[in-house]
Amino acid sequence: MRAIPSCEDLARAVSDGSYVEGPWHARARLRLHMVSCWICRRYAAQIRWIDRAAKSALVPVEREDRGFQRRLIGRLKP
Amino acid sequence: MDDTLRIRELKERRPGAVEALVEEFASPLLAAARSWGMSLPDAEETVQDALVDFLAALDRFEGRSTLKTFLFGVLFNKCSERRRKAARELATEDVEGAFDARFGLFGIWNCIPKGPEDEAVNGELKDWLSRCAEALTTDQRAAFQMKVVEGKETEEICKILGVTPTNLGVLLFRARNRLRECLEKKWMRR
Repeated sequence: MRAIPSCEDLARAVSDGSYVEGPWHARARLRLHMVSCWICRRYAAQIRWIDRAAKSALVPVEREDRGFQRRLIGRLKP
Repeated sequence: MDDTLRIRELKERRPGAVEALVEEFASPLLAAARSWGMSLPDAEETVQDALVDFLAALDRFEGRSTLKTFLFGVLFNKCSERRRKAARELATEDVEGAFDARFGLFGIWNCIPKGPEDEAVNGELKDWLSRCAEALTTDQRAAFQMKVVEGKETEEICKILGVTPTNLGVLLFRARNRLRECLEKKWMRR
């Protein structure tokens, strides 16, 4: 990343998670950029929306299926 | 049950060991395969193959991860293999290309990203997102699913996918941007 992060650096960091989990000094530089750039704030809001929506739209459903379990055991036992 | 004990019981083919394994893991494995983009029949077959491979590979289990993580790693490899064979994996270059094209000189935006921001997650938008997620590759989908939807720790995800934390970041970057690009197209047509 450049010493003064660009919009591209910020968008990349928001998408790969380093905006939240990266080293503090990098995050501080990115946050300064975010404060001053409304397009980056909009992009970050869209990524946050995707994450939030995915938590309800893509939640895995565990269903106990005894028939499937029986078939599995039949295949796995010698 | 303790992993070491369970492994010993499975290796020795103790009565009930396979049944206990299936009872504990069949449902979560099936749910994971489905959430990584497989149809129900494909997911069932993949879980079967994964468990067969897992039992055959028991001697190679060194205890560097938990049995559950190891098992999900085997499942992930099986899912990737199956989707590759079915030629359903799409190239990732288009994500990078579309992302790069958004920026001009000095990395400044040259077009404003559009799409949902503050909207409530309603049925229509949920449906869009689910359809867009179908276009992700298995590794992108699995990384996004485990990190964002299930909130798993980076270390565990890396063990399951067999990648470094940096590679995981790349997968998340591609997954989120592929989803964003797809949602933007739907948003503009609305």
